[in-house]
Amino acid sequence: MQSLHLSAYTASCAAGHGKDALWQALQQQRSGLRRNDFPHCGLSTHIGRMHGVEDVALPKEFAEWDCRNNRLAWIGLGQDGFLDSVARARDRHGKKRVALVLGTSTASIGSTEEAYRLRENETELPAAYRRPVIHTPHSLTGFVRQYLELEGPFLTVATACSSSARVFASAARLLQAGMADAAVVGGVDSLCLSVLYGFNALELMSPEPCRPFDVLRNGINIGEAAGFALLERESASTLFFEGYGESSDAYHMSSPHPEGLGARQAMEAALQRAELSPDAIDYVNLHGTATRVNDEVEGKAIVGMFPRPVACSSTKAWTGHALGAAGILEAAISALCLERGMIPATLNCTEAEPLLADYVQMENRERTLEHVMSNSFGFGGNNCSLIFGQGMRRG
Amino acid sequence: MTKIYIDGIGIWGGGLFGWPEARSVLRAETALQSEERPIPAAALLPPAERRRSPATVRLALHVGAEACAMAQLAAADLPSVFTSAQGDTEITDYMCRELAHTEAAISPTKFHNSVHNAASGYWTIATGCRQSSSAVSGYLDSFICGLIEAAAVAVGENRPSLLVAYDIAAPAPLSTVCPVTVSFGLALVLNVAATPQSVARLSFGPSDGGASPARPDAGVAGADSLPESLQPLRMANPIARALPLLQALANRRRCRLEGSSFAAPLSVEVEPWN
Repeated sequence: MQSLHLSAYTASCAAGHGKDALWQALQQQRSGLRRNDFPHCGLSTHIGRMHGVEDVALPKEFAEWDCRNNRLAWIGLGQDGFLDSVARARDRHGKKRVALVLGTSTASIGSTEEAYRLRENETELPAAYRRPVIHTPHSLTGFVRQYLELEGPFLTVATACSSSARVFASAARLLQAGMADAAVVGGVDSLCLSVLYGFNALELMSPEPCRPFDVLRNGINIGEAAGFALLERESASTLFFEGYGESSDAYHMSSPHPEGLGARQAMEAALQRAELSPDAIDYVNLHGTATRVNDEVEGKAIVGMFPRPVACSSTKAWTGHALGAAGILEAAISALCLERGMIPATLNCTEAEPLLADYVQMENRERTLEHVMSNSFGFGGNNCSLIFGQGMRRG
Repeated sequence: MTKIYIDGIGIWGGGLFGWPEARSVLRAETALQSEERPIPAAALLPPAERRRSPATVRLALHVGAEACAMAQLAAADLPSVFTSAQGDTEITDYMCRELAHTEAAISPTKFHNSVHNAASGYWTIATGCRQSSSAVSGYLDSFICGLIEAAAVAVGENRPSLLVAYDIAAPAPLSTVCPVTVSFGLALVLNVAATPQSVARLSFGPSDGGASPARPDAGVAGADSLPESLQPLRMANPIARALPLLQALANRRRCRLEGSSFAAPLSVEVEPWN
């Protein structure tokens, strides 16, 4: 594919709001995870809860959209001069030619949960929650579209934990098909009872801080995040979105294919689109959720795809698993690592899964990187692999 | 300007049960059936999963299979896009009821079925499809947003793609905030080149801003010519905003689609083919 400039990007999560805070947390190996203190949730686990969300007050004109998820979006869009970058893109391309594609798995379901908890009868929701736009998966994109004053093609992608990785693929296709000249992509997922109790029901949650790829790993920590990026055919940025690969496991709703066939297929397709050989990849940011099975299967796929060991890590012990926002958060971390020259460790991993002993990074390492891969895999066997690069445009 | 061909149609709900029947109603040859029917069992799934599969999954699989059969294409070869304004509101209702209690106990199966891409996941499992499969939403514009995405997938992959659009009637109290009172599903097989199966050609171009946010019902231009009996359905389910497109297909007429609720970035010209 024709690579696209990553003209601007930003990410906010429990480890920090904006690029510099996130970078500091990565460099200092300071995790954003904390003991579960989410209201109305008594589960014994750790979570990646963003600070300051409760203090956000959306301006009056956006009152209809108010919910935790859109407050995260508000925080996220306010970092790193991203609003100015979007304003420039609007001026350059025209607001009807800038697409908006956002990923989420929770959307604003937390507000629907609250409405049910506070309801007084079976026929209606409390008055404060009678706002149809916050009870649809599209609530995030509806809000951001209005806030950013974009009038191009728009879409919410909701494929569980691959949602905000797939947005890059959707945006690239919209540009390829001539339906837009630039795209704002991103994703926001927010903590809510559905995901906390849901993953608990699947017995996939760790009571402790998660330990991706460690031999003693015992499950995930749920997190939340907001991240955004601007993709353009031309810009001054030397960061590029170079390729994507998508696939379906066709195996099971909540367990990955045991040999990681779908994951492998997504990585292969991404390399093919980027016209790169596996050897060209300097670092892979793994999906690495820290469940027994997920990490094992991703490990098999990685070893199959990269017979010669490549530096790999999962950054989820810094951020928690941001589910529908994991794709954009880890795309942003990948871009930061490209820009500032570091391969991050796999925080909390003290003894790596033997299969990946030569792959998993145990310490932060300063190094110049050219091409980085980021993996995101979700329920339904939904896989997406992305490749980012820096330097001169190729091809 | 991107051009795409429609090679297959699947439809179920609101008195329109299958494309041949729907076509005849849309041509005003037969009257709209007034009786409600239960959403069919998911014939594609193994018996154990068939019984307990969610309503959205059954609806999506049913219309998806009809569209693939008409297009004479194997489902396993098609990348797909599943679109829905609200997702599975029966499962949302279940989850929110359980979570309203302290010490909530959620069924693990219901939880993994609560993801917006459940229908997409079951479809790929049922058909053995390893192609890309997405699940999207555009609220009231879910049909046209899904159509744009599925067309872009066909172009990007340079192969036919499948669009499956569905929403089910929302249970109370969600029904007070969800714009769906009748279950309705629609599937289209889109092709990058004309085939003997092609029934229409779609051309995607910039909108001249014809649709106005002030007219929330303005899903598709030419809506006025829809038979009177189908007008209520068009307002009862966001996916049914595609009815004027279906009417144009049934009557081999041209029409023009526009986005509705959040203003219209693109328009889609529809013309009969073959």
